[in-house]
Formats: sequence, C-alpha cells, structure tokens
Amino acid sequence: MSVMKNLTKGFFKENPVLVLALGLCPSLAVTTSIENGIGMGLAATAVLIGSSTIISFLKKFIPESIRIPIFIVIIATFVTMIDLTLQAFIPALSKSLGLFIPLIVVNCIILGRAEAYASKNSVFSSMIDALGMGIGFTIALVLISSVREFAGTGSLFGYPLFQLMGIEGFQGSIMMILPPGGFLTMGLILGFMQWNKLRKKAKEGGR
Amino acid sequence: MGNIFKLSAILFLVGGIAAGMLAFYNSFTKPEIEKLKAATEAEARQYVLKGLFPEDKMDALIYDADSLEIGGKKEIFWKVRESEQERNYKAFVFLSKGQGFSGVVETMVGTDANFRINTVKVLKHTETPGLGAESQTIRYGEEEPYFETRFKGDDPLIVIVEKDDNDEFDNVESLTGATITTRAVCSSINKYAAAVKEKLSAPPVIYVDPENIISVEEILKKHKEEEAAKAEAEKSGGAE
Repeated sequence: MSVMKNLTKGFFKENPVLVLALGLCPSLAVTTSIENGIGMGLAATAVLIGSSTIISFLKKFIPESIRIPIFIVIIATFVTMIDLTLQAFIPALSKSLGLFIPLIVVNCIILGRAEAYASKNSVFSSMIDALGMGIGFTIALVLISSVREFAGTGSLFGYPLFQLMGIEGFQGSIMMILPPGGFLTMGLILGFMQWNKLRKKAKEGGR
Repeated sequence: MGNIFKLSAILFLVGGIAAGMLAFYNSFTKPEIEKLKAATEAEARQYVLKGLFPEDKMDALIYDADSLEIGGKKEIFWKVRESEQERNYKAFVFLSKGQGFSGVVETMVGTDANFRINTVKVLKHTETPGLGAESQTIRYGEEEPYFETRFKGDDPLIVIVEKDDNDEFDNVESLTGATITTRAVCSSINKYAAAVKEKLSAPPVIYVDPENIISVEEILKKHKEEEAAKAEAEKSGGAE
C-alpha cells in the first residue's frame, strides 16, 4: 500500500467514527462546539501517533499474552502527558474538554489501531496510519460538531452567524447540543455515509 | 510456571519505565500548572472586585488570606485593603463550592465592606453544555457573562433562586433549564458567606506593629502628661 493511500484511508474510506464506528463515546460527548471537536481530535491524534509508534517499535519485545495491558500502559502514559501539557499550556482547552482527556485512554480507536495495525506493521507505516486515523477522527468530530453547534446555538466557531448578519432574536435549539442532538446528528451522518456507499455499489453493479 | 515470572517482570518493567517518564514530565509541567493556577486565581480576585477600588489601585491591592472551616474542611478567603498603610478592609473575597447538577460548581464572590455582592464569577463547573454551562457564557456583544450580573448588589447571605421565592430574600433569576446549577451557586454562596461573616465578627486579633512597640512606662508617662495638660486647661478655664 502506498504511503499516500495508507494516510488517506482513514479520512473517509475507513474513517474510525463514521465507518468503523469506533470511539463513539467521545464523538458524542465533546462535539458540542467545533472548538472542542478540534481540540479532542488533535489530542487523540497526538496520543495515537505516540502510542502507535512506540507499540510498533516494541512489537517484537511485547509477549503475545500480555500485549493488551502493555498497550494500555503505553497509551495511558501518552494520555497523561497530553493531559499535563494541556493543563500547563492550553488551560482553556483543558477546562472545556475536562474529563474526556483522561478518557482517551479507553478510546477504542487508539487501542484498536494498536491491536489491528501497529502491532503488525513497521514503525513508519504505523505512524502514517495513526496520523491518517487521527485526522479522520478529527474530521468526523468537526463534521458532527459543526452541525450540532450551528443547530444548537446558531453559531460556528463561537461566532453567532445570525447576529453577525444582523438577524436578531435567533434562538438555537438547545436540544442539539444536549445528548439527544449528538445521537441524532451521528445517526443521520452514519446513515448518509451508508446510503452513499450503497448507492455507489449499485452504480458499479449496474455497469 | 517460570513464564508467569517472566511476564510479570516485563509488565513491571514497562510500568516502571512509564511511571519514570511521567514523573520526569510532571516535574517540569507542575510548576507551570501551579503558576497558571495562581495567576487565574489572582485574576479572578481582581475581576470580582472590579469597581470597588480605583482603577489604578487594582494591581496593588493587599490580600490578607484568612481561613474558615466548612464541613470539617479548611477553606481560604481574603480580606482586601487598598495599601499597606490602610488598616481597614474595604472588600472581601471568597470561593464558594457547591454540588451542582453533575459536579462541584466553584464560584468566586467579591463583596464590598458592607458585605454586599459586587461581582461573582463561576470559576469551575462540569455542568451540561447549553444549560448549566451557560453560567459562564458571554453573549455576543456583551462584556461579562449575563448570569453573573444577576447577583450584583445582593446580600450574599440570602441570595435565592427566584422560583423558590420569598419576599425576605434577594432573588436571582435562574438559568433556563438549569435551576439546579443556579440553586447550587446561590446556596453555596449563602453557606460560605455565613461562615465568612461569622469569622469576621469574631473578636479581632490585636495587631502589633513590631516597629512601634511602646513600653508601659512610656504609656504611663504619656498618660500623666495628658492628665496634667487637662488639669491645667481646666484650671485656666475656671479662672476665666
């Protein structure tokens, strides 16, 4: 597989959230604003790259029977580092992501990629895979959070679009940034992805 | 059997290396985090006192930390004076904590000398986005969170959610869909304000300025002189 293909497969074709349906918990929980979505995506990407690289590097030394606990320890180390870094240098983001940063430890994308890819492939391609998957995760989060932020508060990136255009009195539907809005948005986007896939397949079959 | 020891040893080694790395990393993020925490706290204290002191004196305020006990826990509050020479406290700041909808809500409260709320600031919470989290939201085109303005001028001992209305109390309009958060803020302010007030009304510790200690003889001498002066004044007054 070429490097480029390896990188871009995570964007849409094998998008961790939208196609593989991994890491749904953070995708539902933090996507109340685009800013949070991007922050979570980047933090998870950093952890993913770090842990995938190290795990791929150590794959020969990790005994088969205790690989999972070792993966978890490595992932947890990176997550704690990211958590401390955010607290020390980007406190605003650390405050809004709060509890969800420590929870990256149990984000199944990271363990999933460690188990399915990094423990079987070379260091370089694991890094590329992690980067691609991380970007894919970020894309999914941004997609979901922009729908939710726009519908829920009428703003994008914290800018109230309607007020900026001079339309007064717009009230967002708060439900969209509450949990039900997360499920609705996620469901609709997943549905759309599936529909698109089936449509493409039908086209190809008809040819 | 030997395998178990080998596996345990490997796991132990991995855990040890990870812990060592984290300890090393922690050693240089910790001072940053603490510095940042102190800076945020100082900033919040200034924020809740805005308007009580002249603008140019805000940076030079003296915060005397004092402690109070709430539910067996020691909490800090600050008595604020304008300068080192000034002995009277012009404002008080305390950090109240109360259980909100999904976690502790921390609110910094600044009061004037008459113990009326100047400004409150919700510092930390884990409330629901869109509902309780609105307590920190600044509306477009406004300068401060709209929730905070609802507390201005109220008596911290009796702020209460408007829904739980009672004429004797200072009412606060609750956040839409987040009455529990509003109640948490109000009742934590009540609780901490009561503790602060109790502490303030306790007999003051006599302040001794180490550079100006006067001996008892000196005081007696001064007193005698004063008496003599008084007697003389009376004498001359009587002669007139």
